Amino acid sequence: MSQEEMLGWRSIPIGSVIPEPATAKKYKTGDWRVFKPVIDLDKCIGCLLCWIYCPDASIQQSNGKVKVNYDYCKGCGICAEECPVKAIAMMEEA
Amino acid sequence: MEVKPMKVIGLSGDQVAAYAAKQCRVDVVSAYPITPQTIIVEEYSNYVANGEVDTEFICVESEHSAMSACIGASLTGARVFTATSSQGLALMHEMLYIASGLRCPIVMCVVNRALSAPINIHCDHSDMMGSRDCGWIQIFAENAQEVYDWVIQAFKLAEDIDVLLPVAVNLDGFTISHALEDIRVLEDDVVGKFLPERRTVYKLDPDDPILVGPLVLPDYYFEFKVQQEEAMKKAAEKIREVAREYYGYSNREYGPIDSFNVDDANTALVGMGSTAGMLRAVARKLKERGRRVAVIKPWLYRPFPKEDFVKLVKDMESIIVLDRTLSFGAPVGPLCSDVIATLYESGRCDIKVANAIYGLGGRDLTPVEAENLFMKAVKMAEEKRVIRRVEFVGVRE
Amino acid sequence: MVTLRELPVEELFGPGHRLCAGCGPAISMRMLTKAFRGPTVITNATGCVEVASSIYPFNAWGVPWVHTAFENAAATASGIEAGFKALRRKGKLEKNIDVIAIGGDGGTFDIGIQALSGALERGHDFVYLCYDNEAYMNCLPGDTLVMTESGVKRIDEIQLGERLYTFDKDSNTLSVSRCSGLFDNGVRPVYEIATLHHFIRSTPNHPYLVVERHVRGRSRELRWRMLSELKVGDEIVVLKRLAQGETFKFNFSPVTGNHYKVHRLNEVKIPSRSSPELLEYLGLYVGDGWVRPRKGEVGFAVPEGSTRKRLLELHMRLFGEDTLGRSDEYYVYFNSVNLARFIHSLGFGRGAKNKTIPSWVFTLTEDEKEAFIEGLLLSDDYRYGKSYRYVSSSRDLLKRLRLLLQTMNYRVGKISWQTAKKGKKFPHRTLLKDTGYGFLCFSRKRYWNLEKYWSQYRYQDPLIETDNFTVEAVRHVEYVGNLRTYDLRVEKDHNFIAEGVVVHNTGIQRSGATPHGAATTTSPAGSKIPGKPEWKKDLIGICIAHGIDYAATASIAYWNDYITKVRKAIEVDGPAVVHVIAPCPLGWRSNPRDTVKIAKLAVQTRFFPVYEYEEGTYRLSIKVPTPKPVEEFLKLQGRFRHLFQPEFRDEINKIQDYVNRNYERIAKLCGEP
Repeated sequence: MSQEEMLGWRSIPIGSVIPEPATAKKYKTGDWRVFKPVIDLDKCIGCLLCWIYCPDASIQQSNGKVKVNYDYCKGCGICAEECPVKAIAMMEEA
Repeated sequence: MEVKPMKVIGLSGDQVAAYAAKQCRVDVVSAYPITPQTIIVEEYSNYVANGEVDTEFICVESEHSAMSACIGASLTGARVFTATSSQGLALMHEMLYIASGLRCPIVMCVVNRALSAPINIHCDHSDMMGSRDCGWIQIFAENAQEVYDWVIQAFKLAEDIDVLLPVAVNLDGFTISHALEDIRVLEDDVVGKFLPERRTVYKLDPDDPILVGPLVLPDYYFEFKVQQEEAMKKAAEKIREVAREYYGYSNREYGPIDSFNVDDANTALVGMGSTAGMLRAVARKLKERGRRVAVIKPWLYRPFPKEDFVKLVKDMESIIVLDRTLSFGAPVGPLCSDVIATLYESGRCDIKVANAIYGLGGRDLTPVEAENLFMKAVKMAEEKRVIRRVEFVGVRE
Repeated sequence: MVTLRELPVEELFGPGHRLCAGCGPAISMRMLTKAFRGPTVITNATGCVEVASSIYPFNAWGVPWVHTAFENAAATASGIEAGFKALRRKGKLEKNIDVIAIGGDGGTFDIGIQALSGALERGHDFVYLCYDNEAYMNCLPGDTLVMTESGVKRIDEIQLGERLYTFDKDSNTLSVSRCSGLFDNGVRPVYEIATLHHFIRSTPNHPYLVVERHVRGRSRELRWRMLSELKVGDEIVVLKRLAQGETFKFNFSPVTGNHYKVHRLNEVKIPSRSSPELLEYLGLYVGDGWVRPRKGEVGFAVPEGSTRKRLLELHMRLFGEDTLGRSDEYYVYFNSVNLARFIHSLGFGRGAKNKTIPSWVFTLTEDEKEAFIEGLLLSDDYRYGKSYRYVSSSRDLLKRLRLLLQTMNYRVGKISWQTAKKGKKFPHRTLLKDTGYGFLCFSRKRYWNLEKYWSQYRYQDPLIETDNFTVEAVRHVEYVGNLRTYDLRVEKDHNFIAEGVVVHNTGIQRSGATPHGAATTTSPAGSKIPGKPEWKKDLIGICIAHGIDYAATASIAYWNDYITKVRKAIEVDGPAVVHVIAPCPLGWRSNPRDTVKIAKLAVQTRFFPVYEYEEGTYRLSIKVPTPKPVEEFLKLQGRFRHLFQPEFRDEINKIQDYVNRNYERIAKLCGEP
């Protein structure tokens, strides 16, 4: 946030409370990664193991299979490691 | 409104604190026993056991956990009360800052007792003074009646939407806590009218999730602390409103600061707690003999009632500030340093101020010593100089 | 048990949190939230998860969440649970709200055990989840140069058993000891202290040897003080001069005529040992030369003049005449495959930017070192009176040169680094792109004129100002950044010389949850006891002893078991504790990809038994009839790296032994054979 966008003490909620849930979504951690997971949907069997193991909730369920949310994926590679049919490959970020 | 004749009951300071908390319909009490506060905890658990009060009483395993549990409970929207003394207050020291930082309106009775080492269970103010910067509103009561009145007002003050700061009501250990007095109490429904249900700004509610206690980096931390300071400043004004409303129910006048004979005096002694009562008696005697002496008793210590104090010392020429605590290495005791800062800010550097440290570890300040202090103040006014800036009263060399 | 499709899709521990890539605790939190049954409130102790998920104003949680302090998650949870109970009883609250307290291993096993014990004893209805990533961790950045007997080496290249130069505190002299432990401590904040002639970077908890003077300088004491305790003006012990070395024996085998790539071999005699002349030649090489081993060419960019004369003179004397190739105004070439390969094998580097001083140069005699300096100065130097300045575009070269000069009792300055812009013209070429280059100033130390200044010399403390060591005052301490850091364990003297400064060897702090054998400071990997000798606290055992109804261990790799257990814990009326193992790639020094794999191996090697206790009955949730050897679990983690050295293989057996016994104890409790 730039200096101008930052709020003063009169405008911020009291007691350092963050009054809304899930505001961390505004912080896109996707730019942390060096490698990104690419899912081969033909190989994917929709077992959802990658979805449950992702530390960043960056694998989303979609049409019975999965897709990667590149806004938040940090490129750790756990999904590729745990996929039982090796449908995920870690490609170097362009 | 019409004030009904009050019921008078005999209770000691600790007992009356528990009684007041009962009348305020506290939801959660989480406390750990320590002399001389134990009676508050015991009395209150009696009320709970007898069904006289509907409170969740948590017997925590340490004072630190006591304050942690209080904060947790306060964040759910419950009204919370606790009590402690000296070592317990010191143990929960980090949580005091957290309670005020998270703006939890907790009311705590601090039964002032000396801090170790050496271990001493009698009264002095070093425990509260050790935590005077923690962001809590701090009130000092002179006798059990004041404890009763202040605990009820404290809840009202703490839960005020513009304030939302925790309040510590201080009472002298053993002198007030264990001495039986006649207390004029309000009826339960009157207290209920004065103190309605707690209204929360933020609370833990799964229908409206919030996050409390985040990591705040240098870009925002300062702003939150300034917010707290603003709330402190508001508290100094709100306390007058609360006291005015309370007067309507109880016919007893309260405010940030109390005084005796300031209109007619040119010297004053400033003191907090039970000693002030004795000072008033001595001053009354001296006044009969023609001395122009006054007693100023701040009820509110934090935030320090600057404007009221300056108004009271309008005609003074000398002041002796009594501190019941030793701030090691400091030029003067805590109350005296606040007084001197207030006077300096308002331009009254002409008033001669001296500091008398007394009563550490429960040593009594006798009327004879008090009279000597008054005469010293009179002499300071006459000779227009400070005699012995810091004096330890009654110490054997 | 539940299937993945039955789990709620809503992410209550959402993306955007700042935990590391591949973080085990992050996985455990996500799975935790899948187990909620209704309205839930979380209270979190200070720790990784708390800090990374609640940076103002970014909130990663979708449920109400409170953080108060480090040691009181259970106490805060008690208060919240009591508050809800009171409000419900007074009719101010209708629904039942579950309370979960989350704590890391630090906030639970050590400082938090009091609050947990109190809360369990009082029987509050809440769930305590302990995510166990077994960490607490004083270290130096990887490029720190350490003085070993075989020369100077980067700290991350030191091997176990290597002989290092140390400071013998009893006699205040230089001595040699063996390295008995290596630690890779991961990325840590690093500070730099600077004295008059030395710079060293380390973490704030790294100890240095400080001279403490008492009673107006009349008595002095050497004490170890951490970097964070040092102030400007404190005197630390530094290396002045290394021991007298010896000539180096080369290990080079020349090509003979039968090599398929070589058509013709020029006659050249390759010396078998070092000598001052060779070193001077090599000094010139470092400054101005390059080598192309395959082409068989050794070239020097030395214009015609006195330097070239000296070069040719040295060459003739050392290698003979046959190899002289062509020469022009700026360059001299020598053609010899063997010479080129020899020089290449010495380790001085090839091109301008990667020249360096190999570590064996540090072990040479004084004369040879001086000759090397002479050679260097013949090439790229400037002289200002009695001080010299050396320019180079290889930062590593300047660093090592500085260190070499310090061991020869020279006074050295700071390395100044600049960038020359593209297109700048030099005598023999123009720069094609921006090049960084630096320079180093140094001069010989002047010695006390003892006769003239005897009265002052008397006050010099001879016990510190020895032949090899001296003290220098700290000039400043400043923060450098977060770097990958390492540390060593040295036997006997327990210190070593890094960047010319005497530093203590240490390791990482341990917690009650640190497993046996893990290298830590208070449980260092010494020659007798490598790693923490105590075993982990049995948290579940402690909790069960309080008389609670449900306690369980879990692993993030077995998601179904873990989520089911959390749900059971929530449904239990009263306190329940779940202890989940969640590997931390940073603390365990493992690949982020392997987090789930390591969590699985922890169970499959029986290292972390997964069982549950429910109202008096123990049940082994994941049976491991044929366990994998514990080595498979240990070898994926850098924090156990030292156990794989031959001396400490025995430790692995001890760990295997403990793991077997622990599993058998749990299995017996669970009624398994």
